[in-house]
Formats: sequence, C-alpha cells, structure tokens
Amino acid sequence: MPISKIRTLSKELRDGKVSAMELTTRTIECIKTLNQDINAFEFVDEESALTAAKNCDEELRSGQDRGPLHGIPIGIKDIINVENWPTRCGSETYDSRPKKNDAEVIRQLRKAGAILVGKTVPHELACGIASYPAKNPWDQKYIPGGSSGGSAAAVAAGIVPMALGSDTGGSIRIPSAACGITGIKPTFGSVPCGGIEPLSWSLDHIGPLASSVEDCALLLHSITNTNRPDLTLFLESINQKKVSELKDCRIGVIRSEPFEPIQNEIREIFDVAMLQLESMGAQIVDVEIPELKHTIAAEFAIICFEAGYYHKDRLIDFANEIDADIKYLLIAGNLLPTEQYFRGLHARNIIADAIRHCFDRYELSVIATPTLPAPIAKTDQTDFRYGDKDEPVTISYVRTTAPFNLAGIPALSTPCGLDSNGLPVGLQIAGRAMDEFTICTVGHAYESVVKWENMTP
Amino acid sequence: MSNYTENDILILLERANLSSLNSEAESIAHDLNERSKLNETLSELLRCSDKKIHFKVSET
Repeated sequence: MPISKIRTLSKELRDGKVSAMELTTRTIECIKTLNQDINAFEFVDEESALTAAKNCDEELRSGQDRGPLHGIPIGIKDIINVENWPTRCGSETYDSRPKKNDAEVIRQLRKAGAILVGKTVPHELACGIASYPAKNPWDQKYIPGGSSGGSAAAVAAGIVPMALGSDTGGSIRIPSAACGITGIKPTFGSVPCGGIEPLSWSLDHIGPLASSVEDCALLLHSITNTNRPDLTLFLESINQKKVSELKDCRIGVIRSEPFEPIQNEIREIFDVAMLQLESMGAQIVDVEIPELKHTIAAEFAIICFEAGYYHKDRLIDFANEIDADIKYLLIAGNLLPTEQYFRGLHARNIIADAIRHCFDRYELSVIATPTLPAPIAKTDQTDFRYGDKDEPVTISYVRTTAPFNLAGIPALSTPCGLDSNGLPVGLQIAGRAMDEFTICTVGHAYESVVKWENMTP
Repeated sequence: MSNYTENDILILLERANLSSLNSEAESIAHDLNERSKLNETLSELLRCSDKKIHFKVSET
C-alpha cells in the first residue's frame, strides 16, 4: 500500500474529495487485510474510530477545523493509555481491563482531531528491538525493529499515515530505520509522558512515526506540551517552500565508538548521504566525542534500576511470564548496589556535556550518523559480525541511538537507501536541545532531494 | 569489583523478596557479574571528568 501524506489527506478532506469516515473505513479494511501478515496492530476499536470520524466530518462541515490532523487515522503504541482500551505493553503480565483515562498525549491528539483506530504492537515492556509478533512489511523474515515495531510496521505498510511511539534507547528511530519510514525522538520532556507505562522514566521520550519529516513534524507539533515556535516556523517554511538549501549548515560526523564498528555496506550508504548533503551546501565536519564509547554502560545502568524498580511487583508475581533477557535486567535492578545507578546518572551528565561541547566547539548545526550500524536483523538472528567479533543485535542497534537519549536532545531517523537485500537503511540526524527546527530542516531538505520517503515495501 | 557467588545471590534475592527466583541463582550471578564489569568501565569516564574543563572554541 502506498503511504498517504498527512498534508495531502488533510487537503482532500477539506476539498471534500474524501471524508474522515472513508479514511477510517479504509484504514480498518487495511488492518483486516494486512494485519494477518504483519501483526502491526494488537487491538482495534472500529466502533469508536468510526464514531470519531463521523464527528470529525460533521465538525468540518460546520466550519470547525481542528488543524492538520483533523480526521487523520493514527495508531497508538500499546504502552500509552487510551480511555476504554486495555494497555498490555506487549506482555502477558498485564490484564485486559480497559483504562479509565487517556494519557496526556492522547488528550492532545483528540483535541487535534486525530482518529484513534487501535493499539500497535510494542516489544515486551517496551524493552527490546524485535517487537514480536509484528513483522517487517518489507520482508516478513526480518524484524520491524523496536520497541515501537508495530507502529513503524503499520505506517510502512500504508495502514495508517502516522503512529505514536516511545524511545528510551532508540525505540522510535530503530524501527523507523528498519521499516523505511521517518521517526523523531524529540527533546526530553517536550511531549508529556503522563499515562504512559514507563520503561525508564529519565530516558523515555514519546514521539511520532510517519512517512516523512514533514508528517512527523505535524504530529509532533500537535503533541508537544508547550508552544513550540520552532516547529511552527519549520512547518511554515515548508509551506513557503523555503527549505531546500543547506548553506551555513555544519554537519558533524563521528567515525569512532559507538558508531564504530559498522558494516561496510551501511558505511557506504551513509557516505553517499553525506556527499548528497554536501552537494546541497552543507559542510561536513569530522568530530570526536570520546565520552560516547561509554554509552551502553551508562544507558543500561540507568534502565535496569528504573525498570527494575517500576516492574518489581510484576517480577515477584509473574517472573516466569517475562522474557528471560528482560527478566534478568529487572532482577539486576533490584539486586545490584544503587551506586551503579548513580554512576550511570553521573556518566549520563558527562556524556550530555560532551555532546553539547562538541556542538559548540565545532559550531555544528546537527550531528549525522547511520541510525543503525548493521542491516535489519532476521527474526531469529542474535548477533552481527564485525570483523572477527560478534555483537548482540540489541547492543548493536542501541549503541548508535542511545547517546541522544542520554543527552535528551532531539534526533530523527529518515531513510537514506537500500542495502544489498533491498531493505531500508536509516540516516540519523541529531540536534541541540529544543532545536527540532534544525533537524527537521536538514532531514526535510535531504528527503526532498533523494526522495527515499517515497520508498514503499 | 564485585564477584557474586550463588550464595550471595540467594541472600540478595531473599532481601529483595524475590526468593521465588532462587533456582536461577547461578544465571543471575553470571548476569550480575557481567553488568558489574560493564558498570566498572564507567570509572575511566568518571575519573577523567574531574580533570576536564570544556571551553568554547571558535574556529577562525
């Protein structure tokens, strides 16, 4: 299925070429047809979605316009509470009782007129990169990434034009890269996390997944908890078609740990992307941040304690129903000395400082990296080989995305090519805190030249 | 650096009200030792941070 653009759908709705009811009916039909294969959705509420669509149509007819998301269907990662829907968190340890209240971000989506169609499959407890049983729409032998794998698969398959995800160590950007779509992890705290099952509350971010930077920005603009003139400016500049050149843009590239080791074909695709950005006027600057080699140690020190604390009762009551790797992470958080947690927090501050310092020292606009250092993993794959060393798939994926969770700065992933198996490869662009404008500007300029956003499975 | 034994784990599990996991003490000990080793690698970063002062450098 081709992926529809939010702005196109929005215009068609206002021109009377399509109704919210038709869009929603089409989405539900798509879920019925495609979900058997890719398992992107685990819960669908046809009745409430159609009722909301009917209301949206009536509002538009009466001149009440809630903005660009009005009447647009959306999938919600199943760690986010929606009134009258269960939150299962991809885990057998959660019950199916419907939640009494909407998460804050859901209230904002309803206010913006988005049509909530259902819950997308996350990796268990939002702690992993496979998102079983969701499958990659490009090739079902491969994982869709995670933990927002169902959200990414739903967008990539053309079921919904947008979805919500969460990102603690890469969980929006990893599946976006794996499924050939765009995802943004915004600045820490800029989207409210109330009513969302946490994995690690000091690293969790909520953000958008969609087919393009513009669509992600439209969704992000509607869910941020403060007025964000930078996003308004970005969306206005797109409207006026001002975003095309990248003069005065300095892009930092890190060619050392944790972005090394990297598989050759990924490096080649990334280098081509840098040449393309250079040809658009950007200046590419090699930079070093030696502190980043400690990313994995800091990230997991924090996650295991915060997740271990939050899920302790689950561990006591349902240990045998939790995946072994996650279970050991939770156990560790309950047994290890808290000094290890504080060392992780201390390390995070140093890493965040080092990244800020790098932006200042080299006067960078953004930092660009491959989103992932290796291709998409097969569903039964456990390791990647780099030279003569093996590395677990999860560590490989998280080490290139987690630095920006630790720093709390915005980062997006957008497609930049296809690997030798014909599967998508992601380009990661990170910026300064609260500067989503610049990462969106660079990402949009890049995608409008290379047109990878039009790739579909 | 800690080197957890099965016995250590049994005591820690009991203190954490997680004795139902006693049968996994050996695997847990191995996991905790690996995590502690990884956490120990942060020492290099934490030590250096005391000595490092960042200045803004303008390239001309």
